[in-house]
Amino acid sequence: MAALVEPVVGGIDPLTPVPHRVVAVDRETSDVVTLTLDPLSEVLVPALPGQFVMVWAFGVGEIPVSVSGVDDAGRFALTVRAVGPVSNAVVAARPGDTLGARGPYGTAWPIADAKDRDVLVVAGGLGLAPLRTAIDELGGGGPRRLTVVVGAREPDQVLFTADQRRWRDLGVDVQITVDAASWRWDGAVGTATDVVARLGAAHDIAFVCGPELMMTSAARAAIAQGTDPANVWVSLERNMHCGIAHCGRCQLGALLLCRDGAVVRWDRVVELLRERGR
Amino acid sequence: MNDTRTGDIRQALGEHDFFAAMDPRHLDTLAQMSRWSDHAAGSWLACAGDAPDSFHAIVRGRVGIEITATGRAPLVVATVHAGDVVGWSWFIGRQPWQFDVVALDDVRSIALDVNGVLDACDRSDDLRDEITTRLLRVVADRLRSARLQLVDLYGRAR
Repeated sequence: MAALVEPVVGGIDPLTPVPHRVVAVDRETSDVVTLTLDPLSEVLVPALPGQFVMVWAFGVGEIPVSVSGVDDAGRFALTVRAVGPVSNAVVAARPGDTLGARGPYGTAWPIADAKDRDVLVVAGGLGLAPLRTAIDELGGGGPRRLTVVVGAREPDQVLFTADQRRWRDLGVDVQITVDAASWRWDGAVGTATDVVARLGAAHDIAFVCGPELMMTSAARAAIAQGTDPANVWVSLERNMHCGIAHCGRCQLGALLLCRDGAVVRWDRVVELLRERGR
Repeated sequence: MNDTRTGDIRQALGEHDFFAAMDPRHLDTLAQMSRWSDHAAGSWLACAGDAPDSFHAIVRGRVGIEITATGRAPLVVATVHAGDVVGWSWFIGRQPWQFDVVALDDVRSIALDVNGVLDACDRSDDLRDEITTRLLRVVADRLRSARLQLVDLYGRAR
């Protein structure tokens, strides 16, 4: 009888969490932290930009989290907002604590397709986390022009401000917009869609990640500017659970997003997203 | 701070996104009721309740649409940038400014005399249609943004 689950590189059972030690906790905002995890035994395959891992808070539960940083030693970073029991437990972790992780799973941003092209990256709220390593790679050279639009609720909710300074130093056009601010705020106030609409130039390829409503609006704005819908990529979340396309909880139409996503081409999902309750 | 320094307002109007591809005759008409207007960062272009004497086509800098309420810090709810216009309530029954408009940078705008534009629209249905269509686009964009902001996209799911 064939095995239900194929082993992945390194022989690690994809359904068994690997213990990791929390080695750093960086508070990004009042309810968002970035944890750096170091493997205690096996080293997971390095995540590609846009992939996610399933994170265990032992005794509480498991959630999918996009990888927001990787290094050569097998360490990786997870940026998490406290919204439920598991994410609260993860956000409460301190250096020295142990969490489980398995993966990485899912598809990645098509970085290679961005070479020598005009690239637009649009991130809303926590949606900047799955794009962080993509921007790091793109900012290091590749695209002809790279524009990053970041939307957040308020100025103190903007993630990765140090990274944004570094990206700007690399020549990336980083534009920040918030929903509301005092007059001291030196960025824009409005939606990410407003900023995209103001860019006034078509981009060859667009990566969009954030709340679904924001992604839909920003993707349409990019397409209105002239970006081919087949070159617009979004990151979709559903109830990822097994991570290996077996349980079906993350189904969206014919897609199982833990395998066929999270990063998907806009033109392949736009009609699915129009259906109520999907 | 306002001034009326010379400059080719007619040409600037033609190059402004709001007036793009407008009939040159209309641009000639509108140029006659336009003036340059400069505002230092931190100054107000208009305050809520002011009579609608002019509306502004932003040429340089950012302005903030600001809401002030007793007991709360003033809140900028939208920024308006070069290529956009601020002030449209005047077009609907000469309503006063609804919100404060503050210059967030040193701002240069083209200020169009509201009464002059309305009188010109009374003389030309074609100009009225042009202005109406373009302002509707502005209103639709602002309404879309306000709706998305109302949802609190980046907050916790409800």
